[in-house]
Amino acid sequence: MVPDLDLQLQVAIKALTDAVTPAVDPNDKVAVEQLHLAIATFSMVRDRLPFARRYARRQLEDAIALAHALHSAAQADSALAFAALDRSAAAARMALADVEADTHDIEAAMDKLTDATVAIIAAAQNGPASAAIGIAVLQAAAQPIERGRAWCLPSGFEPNPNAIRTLADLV
Amino acid sequence: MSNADLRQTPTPSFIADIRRRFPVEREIDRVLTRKMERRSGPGYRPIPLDKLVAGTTALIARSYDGNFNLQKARWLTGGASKIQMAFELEWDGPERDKRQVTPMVLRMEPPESVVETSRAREFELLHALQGIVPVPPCYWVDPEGESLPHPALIYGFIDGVTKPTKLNSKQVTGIGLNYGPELRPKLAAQFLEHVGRFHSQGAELQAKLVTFDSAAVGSNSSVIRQINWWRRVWEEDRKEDEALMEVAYNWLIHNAPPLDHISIVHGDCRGGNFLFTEHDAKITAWLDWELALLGDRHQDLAWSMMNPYRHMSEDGKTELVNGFLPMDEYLATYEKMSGLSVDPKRLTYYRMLCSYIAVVICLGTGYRVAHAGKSHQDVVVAWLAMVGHNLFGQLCSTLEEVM
Repeated sequence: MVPDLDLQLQVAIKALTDAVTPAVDPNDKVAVEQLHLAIATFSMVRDRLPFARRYARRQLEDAIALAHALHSAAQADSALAFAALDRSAAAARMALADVEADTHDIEAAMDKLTDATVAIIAAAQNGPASAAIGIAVLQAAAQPIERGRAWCLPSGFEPNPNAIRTLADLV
Repeated sequence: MSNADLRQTPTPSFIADIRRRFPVEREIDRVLTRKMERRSGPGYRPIPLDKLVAGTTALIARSYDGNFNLQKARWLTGGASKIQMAFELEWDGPERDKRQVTPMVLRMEPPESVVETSRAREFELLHALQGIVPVPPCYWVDPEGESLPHPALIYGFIDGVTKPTKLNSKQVTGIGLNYGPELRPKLAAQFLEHVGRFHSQGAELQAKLVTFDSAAVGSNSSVIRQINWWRRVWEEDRKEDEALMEVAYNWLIHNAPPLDHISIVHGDCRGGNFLFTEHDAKITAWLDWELALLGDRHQDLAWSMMNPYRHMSEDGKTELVNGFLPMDEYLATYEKMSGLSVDPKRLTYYRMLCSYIAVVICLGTGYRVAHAGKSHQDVVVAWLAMVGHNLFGQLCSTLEEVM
């Protein structure tokens, strides 16, 4: 497709950098800072856009794995009801299997599954499976967190960026 | 209607339910409820400087009956939270005894901030801290936004910078701030000495702080209130939930330690939140007291130790906490300067709480403010939200230590 999204972002960044930046009053610190961040934001979107759908799919896969792990972790608490979580996990698997599902659909399935997961954690609080569920959540968190940090590496907020795998490695 | 929509257009019952589930300090409840009641209202639109000048003039005239003239108004940048305008006031001074020109700053909220806080509290605390640590003189407050478009306060302009002028950093809000080897030891010593001073003052100042709910040694109720504050904000602002946040909340509630000493807690205690003069490396004013509360000194220490405020020394061998000192030296210097002990167990607890708060601010409110177009710095706030993932990692690793 011409013009493709990458080209449109490229030309917008070039216009802001080459034409707009020199025209901004350097004494207007607010405008200078916001222009700098606007260019950085466009550049980051341009870099990350090709990964967006794969990113959402990997996050959803991790959330499904956590839902599965909660079943094992919750064995000590027979009072916990898993029907809603199981329905959300099934819907999430369907979203992943649907080749037409776009990023928004995958994120919507993720939101529902996370809500159901959090409801189980809240219901288990003070119960016999609470500690085991907490550990399961903790163990499942490492990969999606690293993926989120990798996604945001261009922000420059990581004190030690070399400690984070690249986004390409994580999606 | 989905929960996400409810957060953008909250119903009275949605607001009331969150208030009931997560009780907080009275003044915090007031500002958070106000935020939610206005959530579905208009976003931020640029406010002309002359409108702020007119509002500021009206605010001053409400309580100052002398002759005054507001001049040289200009925008100030810095921070990701409040709208700031510098100006000069020609007046007869607070005692009405001498014609003078005083540089001042108007600090006004946008429709929503990355932290929703009380100008009345900030005004009260700045008055209480005069003579204890360097803070700007505070002159007038408009807690409800009656004279100005939004709640605001006016304080004195103080000379100084938040970061070295030679530092070529484009990072926002002081994250990753590096003072350099010359300034670093001079600022580190003053920083920790000042922190010790206001940490020593909680019980003494409590009676003056009427918009702050009290705290008591031997009780953890002030800690519970604070956890609920941030859980409430998470419920009000987030785009999506996170399983780890629920686990962290449960852990924080069940392990909240009773206070062993009442401190004034700054709440955003770190490099970048004070002014200093470069020629003599002297701290001239502590800024951004909007998150302050009566609580545990370990909270400020833990906040200043967070990952985004660290960097390596010039030789690449030593990690400098808060851009100042290696961890052990940082804590030992604090103990020596303040005369207050550092309890490793409490410090770990507050590392958890600070990570939780920071994730709420960045991944919860950062999203909501930018999404709704509520601030004058949406592009800054959305950029800042990205640090939330590092902080989420910090929360995860701290939970691994304690569970």
